[in-house]
Amino acid sequence: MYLDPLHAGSSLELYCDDRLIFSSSGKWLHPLFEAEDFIRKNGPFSGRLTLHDSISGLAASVLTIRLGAAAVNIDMISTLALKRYEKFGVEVHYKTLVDRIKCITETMITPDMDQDEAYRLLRKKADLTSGLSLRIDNLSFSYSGEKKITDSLNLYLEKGDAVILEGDNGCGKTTLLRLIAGLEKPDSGTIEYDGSLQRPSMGYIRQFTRAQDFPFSVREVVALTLPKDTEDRQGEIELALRRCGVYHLVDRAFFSLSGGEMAKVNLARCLASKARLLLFDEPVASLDKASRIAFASIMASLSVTEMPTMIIVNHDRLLTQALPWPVRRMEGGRIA
Amino acid sequence: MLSLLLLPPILRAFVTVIFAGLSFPLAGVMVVRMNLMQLRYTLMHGLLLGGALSLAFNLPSLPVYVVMCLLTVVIMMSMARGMDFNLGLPAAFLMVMSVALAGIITQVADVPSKDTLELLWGSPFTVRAGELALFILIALAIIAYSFLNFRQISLIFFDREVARTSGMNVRRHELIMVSLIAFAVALSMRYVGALLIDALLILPAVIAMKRAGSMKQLFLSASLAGLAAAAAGFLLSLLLDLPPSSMIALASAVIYVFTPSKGKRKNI
Repeated sequence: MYLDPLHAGSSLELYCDDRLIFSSSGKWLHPLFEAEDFIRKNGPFSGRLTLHDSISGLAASVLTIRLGAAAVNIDMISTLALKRYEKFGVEVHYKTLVDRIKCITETMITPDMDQDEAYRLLRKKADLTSGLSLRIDNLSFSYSGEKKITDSLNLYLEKGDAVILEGDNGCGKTTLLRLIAGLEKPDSGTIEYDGSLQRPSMGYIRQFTRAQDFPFSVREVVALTLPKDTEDRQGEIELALRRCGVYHLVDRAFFSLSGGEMAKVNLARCLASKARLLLFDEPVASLDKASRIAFASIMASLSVTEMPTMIIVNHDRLLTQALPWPVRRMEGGRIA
Repeated sequence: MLSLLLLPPILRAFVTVIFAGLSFPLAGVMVVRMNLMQLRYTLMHGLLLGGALSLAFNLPSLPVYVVMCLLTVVIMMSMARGMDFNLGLPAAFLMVMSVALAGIITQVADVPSKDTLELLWGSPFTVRAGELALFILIALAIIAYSFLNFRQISLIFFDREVARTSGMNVRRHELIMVSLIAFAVALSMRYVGALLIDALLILPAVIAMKRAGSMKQLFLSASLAGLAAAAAGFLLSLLLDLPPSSMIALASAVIYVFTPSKGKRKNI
């Protein structure tokens, strides 16, 4: 059980009702990320989860709490980690208590930091985001040589960053998104995706879905952008639709759905595509309040799980409040 | 009837309409979704010019039709470049030019007006063995392209901007589809005539849209509706000794009328 010494070679052991279900010999925070993957693939486990870890600082405590462990046994624990475990009601046993663990993550995370925010930082630190970096340098664009819509615009997003882009009507937010998506060609400047000018496949939800009378089923819409090498296509479609809460619509005609339902199916399409860069142009425009809240909740969850790089052009106050993402404002063809 | 069917010209005609029935509605679905009615009309006008040329210079009509269709597509696509696939203006220009040139050519070459009018009516009974091979080849190309690229076609039909952002070469696929439509129109002109092209191209697609609940069903139903109209129309024409192109068009219309709609779709 978790109070026993670690088995030879193990640095972390995870138990369910005193039955060993996972162990790792990895270093740093990797065993905890591995344990998380294990639970995602094999769980959920209905029994009591307990864990024995060799070392736990503040960062490890964030991940362990996120795993859902009810009790932990730590060989060496930091004061900050102990306080965090206690704050979240985790039963703690330890051998050695130290002031702090000598690791950069111990200072990177602050004790009052929100679990999701801390988790996002750690995943980025561990390079476990599915996103790509985006660098925009001196981007200028105008329609037919008229007034510049973007004027030497610069923007840098790290892998897994998620930002909300705001600004007055006509300030160029949608144009910037279209430039990033490759739907418009810039007059000058460059856009680099993970250091390359080669544009990758990306997920894109436009402001309004154009109405049409063609009979696309919801299942077909989600399947449209599935990666070619997807083995379990139906499984991926079901998973994406369930995450967005619209699996019950799977055999309905897409263009017969309400605006809110269509927005969620479009989001499921983006999730299933496994795109590393997602661009949303006012995705909740014209949705009712409940649909906007549901949409924001899915987006928030996405930004702490898969963590693709995401940009949302938004005017909706509720979405801005619901998403704990940085807000960047566009003015005069540039990002303030 | 069976003995009639075994006569080589009639058998060739039957094979022609069966392949046309199976494949042309797939091109029809592309015409409807990509809003290419203008392209279709332009191709028909281009074919009138092609017909005038073949009559005036005594050239074989089918190769001239095919060349005219491809030429029309190339000119339209070049003119429409940068116009987000808006073919309206190029179509208007080319239609006017084609008919004007056709009028001049028939006048100068002294083509009898009866022959000119025959361009509007086709007949599958005039198919020669070599032409049949070309016909089958193009029909199979339309079927193979639709089958092998179903996902890409569907994605373009769903939203061409989403298709572009997903990394697809949308323009290349559009060019292929427009070329296949051009071939289908050229061949239809020869075998059912300009006035009845819609019977095998558009009507089966519209019939399928009344019932289909998914894109797979749409393509399959359009193809089956086209096959049913072509086979029934052709066999009835033999039985009643009436023009096959008219009977195929009539069969298409009857299927359309008696196919119930699945239900009204919501406008967004």
